[in-house]
Amino acid sequence: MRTVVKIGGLVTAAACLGLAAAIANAAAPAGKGLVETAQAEPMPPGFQVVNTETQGPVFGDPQGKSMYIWRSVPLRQGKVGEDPNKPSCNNEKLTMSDGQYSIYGPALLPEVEKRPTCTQVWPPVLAAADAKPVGKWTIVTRNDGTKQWAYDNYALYTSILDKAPGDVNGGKRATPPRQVNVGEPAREAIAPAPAVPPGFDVTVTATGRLVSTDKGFTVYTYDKDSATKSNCTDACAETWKPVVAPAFAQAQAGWTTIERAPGVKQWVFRGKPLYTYALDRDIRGLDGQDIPGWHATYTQFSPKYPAEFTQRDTLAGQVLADKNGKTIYVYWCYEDALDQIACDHPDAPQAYRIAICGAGDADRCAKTWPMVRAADNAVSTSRVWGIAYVNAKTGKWAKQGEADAARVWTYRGRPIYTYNGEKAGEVLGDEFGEHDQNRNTFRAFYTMSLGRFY
Amino acid sequence: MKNKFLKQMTVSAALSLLATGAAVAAPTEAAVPKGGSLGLALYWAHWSIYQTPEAKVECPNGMNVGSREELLMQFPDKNKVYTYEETALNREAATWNPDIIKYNLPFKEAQGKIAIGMNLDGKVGPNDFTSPEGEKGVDNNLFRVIGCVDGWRGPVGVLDQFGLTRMYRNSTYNRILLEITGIDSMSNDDSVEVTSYRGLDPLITDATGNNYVPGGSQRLDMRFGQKLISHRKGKIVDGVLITEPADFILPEYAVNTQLIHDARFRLKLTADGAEGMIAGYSDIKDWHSAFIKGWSTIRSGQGLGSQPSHARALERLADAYPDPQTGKNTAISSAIDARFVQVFIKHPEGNVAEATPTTQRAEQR
Amino acid sequence: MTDFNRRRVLRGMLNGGAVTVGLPLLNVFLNGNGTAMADGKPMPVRFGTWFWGCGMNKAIFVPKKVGANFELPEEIEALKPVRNYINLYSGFDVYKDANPPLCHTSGWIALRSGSMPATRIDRPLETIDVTVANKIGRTTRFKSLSATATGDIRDSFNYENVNTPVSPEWSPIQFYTRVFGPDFQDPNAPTFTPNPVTMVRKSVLSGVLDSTAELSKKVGAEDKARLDQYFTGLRELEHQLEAQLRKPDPIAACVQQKGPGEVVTANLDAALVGKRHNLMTDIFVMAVACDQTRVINMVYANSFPATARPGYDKPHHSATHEEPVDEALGYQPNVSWYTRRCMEAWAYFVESFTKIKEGDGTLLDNMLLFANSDQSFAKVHGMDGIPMFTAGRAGGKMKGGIHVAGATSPGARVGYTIQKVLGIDIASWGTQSNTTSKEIGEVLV
Repeated sequence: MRTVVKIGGLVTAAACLGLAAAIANAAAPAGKGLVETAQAEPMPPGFQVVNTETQGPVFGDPQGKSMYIWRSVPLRQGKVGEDPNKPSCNNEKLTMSDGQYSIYGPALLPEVEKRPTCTQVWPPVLAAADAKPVGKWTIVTRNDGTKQWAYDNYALYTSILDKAPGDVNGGKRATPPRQVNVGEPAREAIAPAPAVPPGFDVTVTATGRLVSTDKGFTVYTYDKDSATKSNCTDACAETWKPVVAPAFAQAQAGWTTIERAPGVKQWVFRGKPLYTYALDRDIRGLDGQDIPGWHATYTQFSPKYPAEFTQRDTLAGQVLADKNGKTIYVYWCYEDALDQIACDHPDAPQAYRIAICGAGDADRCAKTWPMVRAADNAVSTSRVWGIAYVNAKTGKWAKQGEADAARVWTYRGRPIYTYNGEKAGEVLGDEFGEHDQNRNTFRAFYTMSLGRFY
Repeated sequence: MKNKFLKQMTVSAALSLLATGAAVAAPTEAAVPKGGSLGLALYWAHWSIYQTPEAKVECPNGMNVGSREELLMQFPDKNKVYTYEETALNREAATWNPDIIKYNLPFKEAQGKIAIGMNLDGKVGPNDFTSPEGEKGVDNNLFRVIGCVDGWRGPVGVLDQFGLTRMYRNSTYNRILLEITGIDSMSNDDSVEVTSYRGLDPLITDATGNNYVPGGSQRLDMRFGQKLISHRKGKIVDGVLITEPADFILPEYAVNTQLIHDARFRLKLTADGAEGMIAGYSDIKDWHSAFIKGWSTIRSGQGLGSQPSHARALERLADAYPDPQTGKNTAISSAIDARFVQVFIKHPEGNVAEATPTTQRAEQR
Repeated sequence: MTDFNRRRVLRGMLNGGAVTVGLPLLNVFLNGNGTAMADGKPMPVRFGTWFWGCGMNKAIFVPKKVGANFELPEEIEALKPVRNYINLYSGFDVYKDANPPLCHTSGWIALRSGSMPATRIDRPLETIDVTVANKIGRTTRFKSLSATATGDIRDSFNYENVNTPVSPEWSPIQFYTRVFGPDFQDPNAPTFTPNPVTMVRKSVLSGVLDSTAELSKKVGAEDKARLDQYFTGLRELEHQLEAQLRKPDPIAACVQQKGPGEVVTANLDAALVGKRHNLMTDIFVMAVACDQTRVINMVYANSFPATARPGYDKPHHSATHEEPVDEALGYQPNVSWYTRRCMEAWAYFVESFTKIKEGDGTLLDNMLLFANSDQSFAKVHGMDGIPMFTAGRAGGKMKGGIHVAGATSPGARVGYTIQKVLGIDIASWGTQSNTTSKEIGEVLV
């Protein structure tokens, strides 16, 4: 799904009338081909809105590449990231860790001689000499005098992990946690606001872009409802609370209202009235989906996971599992230097992962936390789920036929793993790593999590 | 908070006397609950530590240091540039693979002759403790591990406050329930059944949110919580539930569970719930896993608890369930002070065992 | 005084950029005995909020004596110069009902809005300053002004609704530019914002020299003295800001290399935070004295305060959890150090408004300030008895120097009392168990 929708220059307010083409499926029931729409926003010439497989619409540079900001994040010892209008990602090689989130004071970083500079990993989005600010897009001056684009006062960068428009492999993990997460120092891709009425929010989850109220409660639809009538009344409406629209609510593309009782309007999205589930206690809960006839609401769905995987119940929720039923894990990592460069992909130092998975021994890692091999006839049908050759011992990219080269599945450009310290259906390997699971950690791939994180 | 601890000691006193057969005035008979079933939800749990003022008795050499201080011990040269691998990554490797990388740093085990707990093996050995009320043969080696770590001690130890206690109060995925069935009398009943479940609902509190109110209902997690269902037999003696030893699993932080072998419950049944003790042999891998996942290295600094050193202490002091291959003990005698509030348990209608893994959730289109 | 407009500002140009210099409430603007405006309207009463994170050590913070003439335990010793202007509220509670106890969040939201958040991203109702600003802030140049000493624009403890936090100034120099720069936004105007460096070096006063000369001739001796004091204060502020601009980046200078177990960060060195706080306070004082705004919000440290102490490896928030309670002292010594710095800043804030004469008293006499924290005993995220203060006589309606013991009544009573004093006619304030309609009579005149 690499649809590129150019809406640069449109200054129309949220009515989104000009976007009918992009939301042709608005009236159709949930299914393939759903595409989320964004609120129109002025952009500098050449900049565009790019639809992505898992993150919804994001802003793209003139080449369509995702752009990232790095708002400063307070870690336990101090902060990392950038202040408004102060780009700090430079072409300077940092060699020492900084200890902002740990008890570990400054120390020489792994593979320091090969360590890239910040801008080698995060190239700044440079502005031409005659570039002019537009709307929320401004221009800041870097420490070397060059000009850089900024959005909402934060300097913009692209990621070398993004190879094509629609990739969002740099920065934050794919899905945000439920709790305030003090300690994740991640860059985030900039995106236009979703085209939803006030009172709603859209967030990335494993399944897709989930619609919730602005307080975070998941919004559901009911099979027995129609676009003009809610059939959940009386006792049903005690458990499934209609999402009430204000009296003067404006319809917009995909969003309408019905009057379910005199003076009481209910929001309707893509032809289905909306409710929250009284028994969802936590934000972005999915308990309501267990009730026959009820579905959580998504603006668009993520690509389907590989055919050889399954979804499996565990103690902590539902996870993605390999063909043997073993829970699948992702691994993410940030180096604890001021530039917080990622250490969780094959180009990066593997010392972090190997410390956790094998106490420093790569062989032990390969045995205890093997990468998930792709079946010989498996093919990748999306970009977010890819197939690549990785050296199973060193963790670095490999070529077919090389010693120890394994054909593995990748998620967001990184290998995925199972844990041999557990049986099928267990999640003993979840949250296996340092710093509250914010860095250098293995995380189960949840399709529905009971816990603190996704 | 200090008062609650005194109160806890008093209850333990009564229970201990019961255990040794001394006479105690019987409480007034409480009404038998409907259908002979009583539901209880755990809302407060604390790894039992016998505490004296300023820890003078149990920690005569002072309290343990945490990871920060240990790092300074290991790398004292302030003028040297160390590598990240030898410092941070090595400590993380030791934390997450304690069976492979073992530190030998000083660790202060709790001392003394007195500990809170139960006699788990039926014997009175030379290394056993005596309870504060005089019960001999008390087995609680976990006390030796955590007794001199500031964070585990009440009433404001951070690991304690934010660990078991907060977990159980706030998180439905840690909602552990007991259902006592077959009750004929709340005072004396020589045969009841006790089943544990994971619940799905929050607990009812008063307006402050701090005090739990009985009478709420709890649905059962029959889908994801199967592992947490366990059975045991018991009896009620003078208003105290006493169960036979049987495995019990306590949920912690969603992905962790704490297996307690031969767990025994000794709970005084009150009008609003129950309070008392759970004691047994806690699996040390589970215990360590819950600690390191719930508390990253920096956060364990909050309780001045070094995880690699805890791992060594657990290994050293484990006293039961030897691994058939290595012969090393895998579990440690321990006790938990526990409080429960009464709840109504709602068994699901129909045969929930049929709930299939792929219903409804996480639809992929 | 028909030469001067309703807003009592002097406008001028400095190096081609517009500058605006407000004027304090001079006697010429007041009635005969200085107790009301010349046109008979009462002196404006101004409102402000002040926030500090991570509460207190109760044993050395809360006075034993209740009522007037309370003693100052060591953690609030710094409040000595302002003791008689402030009221201290202890033992007031916030009620969670069925809502979760969200650390560093639920407490301050309940005290500032009367309502408990349902989730961490929920912001129920609006904070009290927004309510007040909607009532009293409509005629001033700025409906309200907010600032944070933390250098982070996201540190705001005021919001209109879940999507609209009140955005604070995070840079003293930008704050100054905003208050003394052009007072209108007209993209077509030939003027533009002057360079802040120029503003502080040459002084905004140099852009309005003619007007000040004219004004001085027309006012009486007392007003002349007031103008002198005001202009001198402004010049001093500009010197300080200029010094800030000249200094090297404090972060680079202060980070020390220690062993692997020690890290000292100067991102939010307490001294730097204090300096920023005081500079911003000085700007607030001028903005309020000159009626540029009647509602102000100051954040000294956020609810996860990252304030750092040189030579100590844990910033404030980490220390609240990691520092053991010293058994001999009965409190956490480093945490207390941080709290004492907060109290010093609060004292400076309050006292600064007493330095400006207004009418027959000081500016503080016509103000009502509300200070609160997010927790009481931060180590365990305690929310019982979160400490609060008010300061100022609110135009003669409030007493000062009273310690009020809340006896677990809702903390929302403070917000309710404040609104009643400011003339906001509400039958009650707050929701669910935090609802109150009971004023705190002990502090009312």
